[in-house]
Amino acid sequence: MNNKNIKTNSLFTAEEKAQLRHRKIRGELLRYFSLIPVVLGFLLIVFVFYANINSSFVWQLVDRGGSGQVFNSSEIKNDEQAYRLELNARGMSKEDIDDILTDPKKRRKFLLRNRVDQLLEANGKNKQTVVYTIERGMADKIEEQVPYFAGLANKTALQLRAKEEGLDLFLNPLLDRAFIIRNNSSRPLMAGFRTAIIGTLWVIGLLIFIASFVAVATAIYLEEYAQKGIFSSLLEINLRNLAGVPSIVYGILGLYVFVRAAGFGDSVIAASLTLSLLILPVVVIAAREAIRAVPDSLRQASYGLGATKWQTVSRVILPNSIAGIVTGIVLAVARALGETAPLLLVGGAGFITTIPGGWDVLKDSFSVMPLQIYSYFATPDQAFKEVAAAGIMVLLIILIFIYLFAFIIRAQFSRKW
Amino acid sequence: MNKTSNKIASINHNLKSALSKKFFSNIVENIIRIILLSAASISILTTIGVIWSLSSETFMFFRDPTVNFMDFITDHEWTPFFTEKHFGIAPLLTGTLLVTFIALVLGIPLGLGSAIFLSEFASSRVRQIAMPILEILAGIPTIVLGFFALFSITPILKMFVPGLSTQNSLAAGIVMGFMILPTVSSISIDAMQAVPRRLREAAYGLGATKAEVVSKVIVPAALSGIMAAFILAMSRAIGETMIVTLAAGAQPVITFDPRDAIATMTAFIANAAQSDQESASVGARALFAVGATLFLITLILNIFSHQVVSRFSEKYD
Repeated sequence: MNNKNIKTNSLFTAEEKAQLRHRKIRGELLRYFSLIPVVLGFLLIVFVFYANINSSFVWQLVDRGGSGQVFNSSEIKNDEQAYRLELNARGMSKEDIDDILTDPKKRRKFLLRNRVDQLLEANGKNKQTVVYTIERGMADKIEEQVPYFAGLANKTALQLRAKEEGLDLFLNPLLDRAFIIRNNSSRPLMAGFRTAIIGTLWVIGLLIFIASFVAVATAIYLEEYAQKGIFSSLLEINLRNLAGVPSIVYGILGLYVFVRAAGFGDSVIAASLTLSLLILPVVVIAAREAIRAVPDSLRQASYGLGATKWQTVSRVILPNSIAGIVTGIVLAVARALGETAPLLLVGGAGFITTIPGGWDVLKDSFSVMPLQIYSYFATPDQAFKEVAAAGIMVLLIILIFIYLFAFIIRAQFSRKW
Repeated sequence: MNKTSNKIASINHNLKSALSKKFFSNIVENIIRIILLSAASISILTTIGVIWSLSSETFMFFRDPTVNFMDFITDHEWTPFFTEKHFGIAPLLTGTLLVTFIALVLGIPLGLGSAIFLSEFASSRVRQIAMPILEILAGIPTIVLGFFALFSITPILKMFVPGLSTQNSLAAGIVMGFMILPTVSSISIDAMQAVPRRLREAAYGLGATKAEVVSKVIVPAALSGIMAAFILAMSRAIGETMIVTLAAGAQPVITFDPRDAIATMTAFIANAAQSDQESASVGARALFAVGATLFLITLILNIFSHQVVSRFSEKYD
């Protein structure tokens, strides 16, 4: 009786209650709608990885040239043995094989045209090894290349076709050891990523030195030395605007200043300088934040002990902000690693097979990972599409490690004051 | 007596050595200051270098007898490498605008939505998982996204959109929308976090639901920051190169059909850089003229976005 009374004497009329319910529902709706973009972003990342993994494990219908044989992977210890077995199967005598594999000139030629590939599956048998060849007169020919999941779904059809046309059906992971250690080639069967990996190491290695020195010095100057004035505010506005300049404009700068005016040509040093300028604003901003996070009390204590400005900077401020600075550099390096557009102008995206090295390394022509991936797109050969996916996977895996590294530094060494 | 004079001498000596030390360290301090100052000047030299390289070659471009500044603005064709050359930048501008428009239509609601979720609705636990997702999204190299748009998104779109060409602005725009999502999101989050707590509490005190607080108090209060995020995202979309070079094509035509292949300013620069043009030819110089146009547009947008923040941001103290 009492209960009923309260209900009827509620503060709200039925109309207001309905309105209240309506408002609550709208609130819930907004909550779930706002969750959608995060989910979509996550799905996109998953889809990017799925697409590239799918394309870098391919089913190949091969018209075998060479010996036409596949070997059991468990019996093969190294590439050398695989080459010997293959040459033997091609009907060569032991002397000829020794000659090819020991004479430096012949060996080089042979390695350019033959490649050991570990197969996950060959004609229904697991873990086989094959030596692909593009030697004249006995070149292996890939009749069709199907991405992993598409091939898995149509496996019986592929097997049937292989049987009918006398082809071999291989499941070949393009992202394998051979891909990492082989140099670039204009033939998809022989293509490797080593050229690009070494080129990247040179360009990025140089960039780390140049960019971190200039950026940290700029940050120290702005935070510790500069007086408030026209110059420092000009510097700040300038840095802010540089951060918004499209990366391809840096490429134009590199082309005009480093490649042409300074006469460096399409070289490692030109690319490294261009990318350094590109990431400079990012590193400066990160380094400034790290320096600003060092509390003033530490500075005052240092000055109070009679330290000079540079002593304070080098012994108090830098050691206490190093985690933030290094994190900033690492994240900027990750960005530089994937940067393609400026290098299209500075590096020239041809099929570069030379590896930078030796005394004149700074002036060597080069390829870096994203440039080489782009060059696969620019060739008309369709089979490069899958090679590009393997290259993308290498790039993404390296980036994952770099981000993890930055994350660990940030978590381990950052200090709270 | 002797003792005191000895003492004075030793003090004198100490003082002298201290002074000379100070003198020496002053020199070191000054050298270091000069080194730091010259390192800091490099960023200003960079800007000078950008302006110098763009303007000098652009100037040479417009001095060429086949080029006319009015034609550059009014002509409807862009054929710098043909025998019959036309230098009208309109097709490149419309191409850029089309892709940017698609990217913004997708990227702005997604970015703002995720910002609202991360800033207002997500628990700190969920935020710890969701924030890295956006960071990863921002960290994917654009060449990877370009391949993804061309080989993964376009084939899927082909199932739903009849008449879609292999390279098209739709797929490029969609992927670019995801590329700018983190930009919009992170700047908007900062703006929304900066809204003072008492505004929220006041709204709750008046009986507003969470959604009402977000949509009627927080977003309007953070609007200047959110607008700046939109403008910066637009600037990034205009300057993005690899996605459009791979997925949107290299056909400078004036069209607003998202199914067609187009060419953006950035895609033209990327393609022109690989053509075997002589560096003194008018075709090669067209690259710099387009670069200068691109630089001006993005610069104006960037300055504009900072203006929006400084002029329209509400001060609460």
